[in-house]
Amino acid sequence: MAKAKHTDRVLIAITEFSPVDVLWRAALRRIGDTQVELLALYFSEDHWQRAASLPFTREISRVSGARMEFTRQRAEQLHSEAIDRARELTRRLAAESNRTFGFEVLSSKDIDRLKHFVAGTGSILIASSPITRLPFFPLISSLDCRIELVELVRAGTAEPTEASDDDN
Amino acid sequence: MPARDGELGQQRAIDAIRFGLRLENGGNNIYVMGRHGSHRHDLAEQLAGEFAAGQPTPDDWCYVNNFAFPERPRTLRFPAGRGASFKRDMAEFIGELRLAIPAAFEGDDYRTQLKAVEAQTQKELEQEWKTLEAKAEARGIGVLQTPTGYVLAPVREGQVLGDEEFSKLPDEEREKVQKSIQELSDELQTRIERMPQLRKKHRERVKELNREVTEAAVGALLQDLKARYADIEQVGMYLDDVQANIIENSQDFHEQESPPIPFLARDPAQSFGQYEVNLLVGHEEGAVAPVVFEANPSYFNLIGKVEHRSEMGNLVTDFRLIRGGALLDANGGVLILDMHRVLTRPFVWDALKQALFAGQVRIESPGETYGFVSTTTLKPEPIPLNIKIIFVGERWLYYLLAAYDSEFSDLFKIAADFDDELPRNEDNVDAFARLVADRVRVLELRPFDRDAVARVVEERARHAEDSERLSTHMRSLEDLLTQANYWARDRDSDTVGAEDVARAIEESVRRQNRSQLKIVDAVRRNSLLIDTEGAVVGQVNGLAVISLGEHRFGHPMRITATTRLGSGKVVDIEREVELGGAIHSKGVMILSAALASRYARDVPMAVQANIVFEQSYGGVEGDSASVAEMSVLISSLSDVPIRQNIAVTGSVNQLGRVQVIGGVNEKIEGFFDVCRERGLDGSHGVVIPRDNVKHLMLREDVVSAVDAGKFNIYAVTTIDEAVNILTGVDAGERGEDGLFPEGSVNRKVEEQLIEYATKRRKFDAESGEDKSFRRSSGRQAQTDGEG
Repeated sequence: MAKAKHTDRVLIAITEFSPVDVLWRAALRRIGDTQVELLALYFSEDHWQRAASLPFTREISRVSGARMEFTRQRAEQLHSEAIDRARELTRRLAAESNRTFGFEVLSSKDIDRLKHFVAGTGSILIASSPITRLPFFPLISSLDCRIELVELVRAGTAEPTEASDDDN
Repeated sequence: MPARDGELGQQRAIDAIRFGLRLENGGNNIYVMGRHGSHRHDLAEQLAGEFAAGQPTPDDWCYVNNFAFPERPRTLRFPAGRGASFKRDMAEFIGELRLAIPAAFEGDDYRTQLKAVEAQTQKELEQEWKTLEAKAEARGIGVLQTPTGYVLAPVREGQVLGDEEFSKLPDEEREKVQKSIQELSDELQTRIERMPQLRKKHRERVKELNREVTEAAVGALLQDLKARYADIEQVGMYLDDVQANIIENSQDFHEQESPPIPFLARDPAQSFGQYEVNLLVGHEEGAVAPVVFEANPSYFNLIGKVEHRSEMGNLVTDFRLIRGGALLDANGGVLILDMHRVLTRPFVWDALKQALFAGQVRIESPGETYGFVSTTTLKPEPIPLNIKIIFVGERWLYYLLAAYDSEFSDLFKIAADFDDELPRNEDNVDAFARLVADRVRVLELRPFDRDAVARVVEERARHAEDSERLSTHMRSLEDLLTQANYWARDRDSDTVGAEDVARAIEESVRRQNRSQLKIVDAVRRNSLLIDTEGAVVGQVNGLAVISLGEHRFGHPMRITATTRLGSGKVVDIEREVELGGAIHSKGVMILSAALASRYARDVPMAVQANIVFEQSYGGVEGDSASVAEMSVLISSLSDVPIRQNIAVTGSVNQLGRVQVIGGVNEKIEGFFDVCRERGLDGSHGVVIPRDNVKHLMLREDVVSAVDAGKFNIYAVTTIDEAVNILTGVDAGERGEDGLFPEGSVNRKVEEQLIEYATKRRKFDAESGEDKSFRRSSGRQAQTDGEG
C-alpha cells in the first residue's frame, strides 16, 4: 500500500505509441482538485533514424504488405509527426479538462533535463508499462520520483499500478 | 307499389343483365347499351348488387416480400377476413422482433460469448505476431512499428544498429542480417496478406454466434404464428422463409457501429419492413361479394400500380408500394365501367382485355409493358381473376366494337339493350305514374297532383316524338320533375300542378330558343324570304329541323325549282356545291326517278330541272324534303302555282308514296310560329305524311289553333294528295285511256314533258346531232329513236 505523500508535480511519460488519453485520465485522477504542475514528457527515440541509415531498410505496409524505401527523410517525418500528434492530443485533453500543462521532448542525450524534470519526491511519473523497455527507464528508476504504471486492460479503461515509490 | 328506378319498359334489358350475371364466366360479360341518362347504370348496379348478395365472399390477397427474388413479390391468398388478421399479426410480430432481437444481443450470454470469440481471434492474431517477433528476435532483428507499417532492422543489446555500427560488423554477419531481414520481410508480408482471411474468419464466427442468438429469439416468436396459420400451407412456407431470412441477416437487427459516412447507416426500420404485409384486397368475413363502379377507369385505377419513393435522389420501390386497382377490388364480384371512358383512357382497353383473357391481373406499369421505360421495377406475381364486367355505353360503341374488334365479341357476349320508350297503353301509363311518384320521393320533391302527372306523361310522349309511346329517358324526366318542383316552390305551392310542369317546359324552351326566335324574326323582317300567302309557280315552303344541344326546333325553308329543255337531268344544287348530304342526294334521285316513271314512260325526259334550298348556307341532310321537292318540280313543269300559306314535309318513294319523317312536331310548330307572327287566318297549314299522325305531340298553342280552325294539318299518303292540297288543283289519275284528266296537274306535267321531248327531237334533227343526242340520252333516247 503506497503512503500518502505531498505531490507538487505530475509527469506523463509519452512515447510514440503511448495511449495518451488513458495516461491523461490517470494523471487527472491523481491530481484531483489540487493545482499541481502537470507536465507531459515525450521520450523521443532515434531507432527510426538509425534504421533509415541502413541502405537495405524497407517499410512494409500494414495494409497491403507492399515494401517501400525507408529513407532518413521518411524517418524524420515520422518522428516529427509523432511528436506533433502527441502534443496536439495533450493540448486537446487539457482543454477538455480545463488544465494547463507543459510539454517537453527528451532524447536519450538529454540526461540533465530528464533529471531536472523527474527528480524529486514531489514528482509522480505516470507511464504505460511498455516504457520499462525503453533505454530511459533504468535512469528514471534510479531517480527518487514515484512511478505509476498504467496497465491497459482494454481500450478506454485503465487500472493504475504503482510500480515504484521513494520507499523502494 | 312504385316502379323501381329505370326498370319501367326495360324488362328485356333486365333479363339480359340477370342472365349474363348468372352465366358461368368465359366471356359472358355484359354490355348495357342505351342512351346516356337512361339510368342504365343505376339499374345495372342494382341488379349487380342483387347478384353479388348471393355470391360467396371473395378471398383476401396480400403481397409479401420474395426473399430470394425481391423484384418479384409473391402473393398470399387468405379466406375472407384473414388477410387483414395476418397483416396485423405480422405487424405485431415485427414489433416484438424489434424488442426481442436487440434484447438478445444486449444480454450477458451474448456478450460473454462474443468476448470469447473476440478473445480467440485476438489470441490468434497475437500468436501470429509473437511467432514472427520471436523469430526475428532470435536472429537479432527488431520489428519497428510506424504509423503505416513495419520496419525490420538489426538490433544489438536492445538498440537498433545505425549505418556506423552496422558497418563495423563482420562481412559474414552483415550478409546474414540482410538475408534474415529479407526472409523475415517475406514472412511478414505473407502474414499481412493473410490478415483479411483472419478478419473474415472472425466475422464468420461472430455471424454464426449471431445466428444462434437470433434463431433462439425468432423461433419462439414465430411458433405461435405458424400454429395460427397452419391450415394455409402457403403461409406456413412464407413464415419459414421469414425465419430463415431473419436468421441469415441477424446483424441488420441490432445496433451496429456507425459507418464513417452517416447516410450509409442501415435503417433498422427498413430491415424490419421487409416482413410487413401489403394487404391488397381485404374483405370482412361473411361480407357480400363486391360491386365496384370505377368512375375514372385510368390504367392505374383499373389495373393497379407500383409506386415509388425518393431516396437520396433515386426512385426506389418494394412490395409494400404495390397498389391494386378496381379489377382486384371487384374480384369475385362485379365491376361496372363506362365503355366510353375505358376507350378514351390510354392503354386501358388493351390491358383489360389482356387481364380477362389471361384470367389474372398482372400489376405492371404501362411504360414497362410497352417498353417505353427501362427503369428497373417490380414484377409482382399475378393474381387470378374471377369477375363479371358490366360495360355501360352507347349503342353505336357496341356495334362499332362488335364490327371492328373481334376480341370484344369474345369477351362481351351478353348485350342488354335499354329501350328509349315504351308503348303508351293504360298499364304503362299507370306504371309511369308510379315511376313519377317514386322519383319525386327519391328526389325529395313536392308531391305532384294528378294533372301534373298527366302533363308529365304528355311531355314524355312529346319527348318520344310519338303520341303512342312514352320516353323512358330518366335524366330528362328527372330534370323536368325537378324544374316543375322549382316553379311550384316559386309560387309557394305545397304541391306541383300541371301549370308548374308546363312552366318548366316553357322555361326550358325559352332558355334555349334564342336561335329559333332569330329565325322567326328574320322571316318577319324579310331577311329570310318565306311567303305565307299567295301562290307561286316553282316555289314551296319546305320544313327543316335544327338541333342545338338539347333544343330542337323547326323552321320553314323556301325551295324553288326551274325547268327547261334539257337532257333529262334533275340538278340538286345542294349536292353540286357539296352542301347536300348523301341521304338528301338519294332523296333527290328517287324523286327524279319517280318523276320519270310517272310522266315520261313513253317519251324521253328532255328536261333540265334545278332544285335549290333558297338562303340555305349550311349543310342539308335527310330526305324529308323530297315531297316538297317533287311538288315544286311538278309546279314548275305544270306551271300551276303552289299555295304559300302551306308548308310541306315528307319523303317520297319511286312510286309516289309519301313516307314517314322525323321531327314532325318541331316542323309543324316552326311554320306555325312564322304564320302566327304574320297573323293566322285559317288558311295556313302543314302537309305531313299520314304515317306521322301517330307521332303528333304538338304544343298546346298549336293544338288550340287547329281546334279553333286557325291552323291546319293535312295528312297525305301520296304525292298526288299533297299536290292537290298545295295547288288547290286536282292532280289527276290516269284513266283507262292511259291519260290524265284534262286540266289536271299531272296532265299538264305530262304535256310539258312531251313538248320538251318533241322540241328536243326537232332541235337535234335540225342541228344534225341526232347520234350524239342518242349517246347522251342513253337507253331512253335510243328507245325513243327506234320508236
